[in-house]
Amino acid sequence: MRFKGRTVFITDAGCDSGRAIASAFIKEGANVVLNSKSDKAFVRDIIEDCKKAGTGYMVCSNDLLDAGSLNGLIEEIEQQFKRIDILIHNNNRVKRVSVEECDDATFEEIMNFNTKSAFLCTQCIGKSMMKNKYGKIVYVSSIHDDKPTGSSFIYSMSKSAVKNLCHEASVEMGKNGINMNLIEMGPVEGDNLKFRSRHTVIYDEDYKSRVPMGIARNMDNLASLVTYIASDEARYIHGSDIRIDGGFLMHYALLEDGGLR
Amino acid sequence: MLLEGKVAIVTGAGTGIGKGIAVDLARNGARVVINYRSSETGALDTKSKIESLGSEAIIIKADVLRREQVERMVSQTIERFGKLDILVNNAGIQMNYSLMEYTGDDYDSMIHINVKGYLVCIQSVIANMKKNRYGRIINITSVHSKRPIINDPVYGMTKGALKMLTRECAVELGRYGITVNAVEPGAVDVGIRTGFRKEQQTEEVNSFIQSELFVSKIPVGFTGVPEDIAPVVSFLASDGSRYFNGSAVRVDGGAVLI
Repeated sequence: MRFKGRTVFITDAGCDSGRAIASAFIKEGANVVLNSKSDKAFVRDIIEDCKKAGTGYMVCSNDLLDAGSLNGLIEEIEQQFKRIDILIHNNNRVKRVSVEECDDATFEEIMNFNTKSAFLCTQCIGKSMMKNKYGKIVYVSSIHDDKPTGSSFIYSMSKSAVKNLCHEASVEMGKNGINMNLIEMGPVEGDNLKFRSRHTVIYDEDYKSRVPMGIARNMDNLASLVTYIASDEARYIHGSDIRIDGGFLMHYALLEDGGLR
Repeated sequence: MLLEGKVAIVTGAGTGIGKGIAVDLARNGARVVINYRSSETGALDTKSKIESLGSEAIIIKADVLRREQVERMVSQTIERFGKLDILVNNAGIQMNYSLMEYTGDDYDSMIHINVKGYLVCIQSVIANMKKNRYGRIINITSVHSKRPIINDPVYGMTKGALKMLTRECAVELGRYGITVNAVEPGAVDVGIRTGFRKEQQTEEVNSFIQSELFVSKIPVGFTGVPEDIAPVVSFLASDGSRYFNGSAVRVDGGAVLI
């Protein structure tokens, strides 16, 4: 019960990774604030889990691109749970589009959903955390913050920007007791359909055979890593990018200029 | 000459690194389009420097945020010179706010100018380069695409996004004979410039980057100038660089290593 009495804010909590992460925190006694604009069917299950575990919960669908709305939500959370201890930024929207054909609206949509939400959450929730001199932020990102997709370039740009946000914020906010890291999630069953590209071979028909540990079929391993990183045991892990991909990128690692993995 | 017969557009070529690049491309034989948004006198100065080398240049004013202006710049270039071989994406801004000082609007401006501006310019040149099955696109990014800058987190974010824009473009466009690479300058002394912060509209010299303290953190023992960045761009713009694609060349005197 590493998180008894702690309050966790999870963005896009309705998606697969969000649900897995929420369940893992609830099991360990955390109060959860679940923000999601997507289908709310998951809410019933999660509320059941919370009741069983005796933990607090709040379900919301605030616009994370609106600092006013976000600050209002933070006030509500502070009233109900006193403080926010942990932020899990989990926005990972992928849209298949080529550089050649991308229009302004698509660029804005993905950059806002994945990146601006991270910026505003870090800023607004970070301010709230700074009052307590305590906070943990975990950004759920992707191996594609470094490795091109060949199919969804705005996604990789948006995630690379979040990675740099994590690095920058770790320097600026670390001294205020805020601890942050980024997780680079690798392939999950079905990602070949999401990312398949005629320009790359990463997600060809053999892609599963290039995952030495076997392809992940769910987000449970991700959730275990997130809870570890968000725990007090991990306080010296700071500003790190932690890859969790079953060894997938070892087939591509260290190609050039020290950056491409 | 390295770039004999080539035609290049350099964005933000009225000042700083962009000016240095435009002049060096011209020195190597390219005909250059000097793009600027607000520094008209700077653009005129770049043009006269190029002409004094006996090379040819034209000035085209265009805001990289305005797709129609960028597209007009590209079609004017082709009308004038018949083709376009080289695009150097260089126009960008820095605000120098801490994370907590940044407003949502400042954030949007940074993303639009530093990231979307590069994307719009690339999109606008693809058709012509594809037709000729030849293109050299060079994105000027920063060592801060990989290393925190600290005094302007959103600047760092935009350069991270450009790192991936470069790599994704390299993957997508390579088959058309178009290569896309990045140059990552470290600290560069550009002389007089408009104040870093948005509210500082006065021109000033950033003397700090020539100070003993600052220079002591650069292994080569001096602060770079635009002329130290430009030759790398000229090489990446040349035929000899054809096997470079999606690479990033760091030009910082070794500063990130210490």
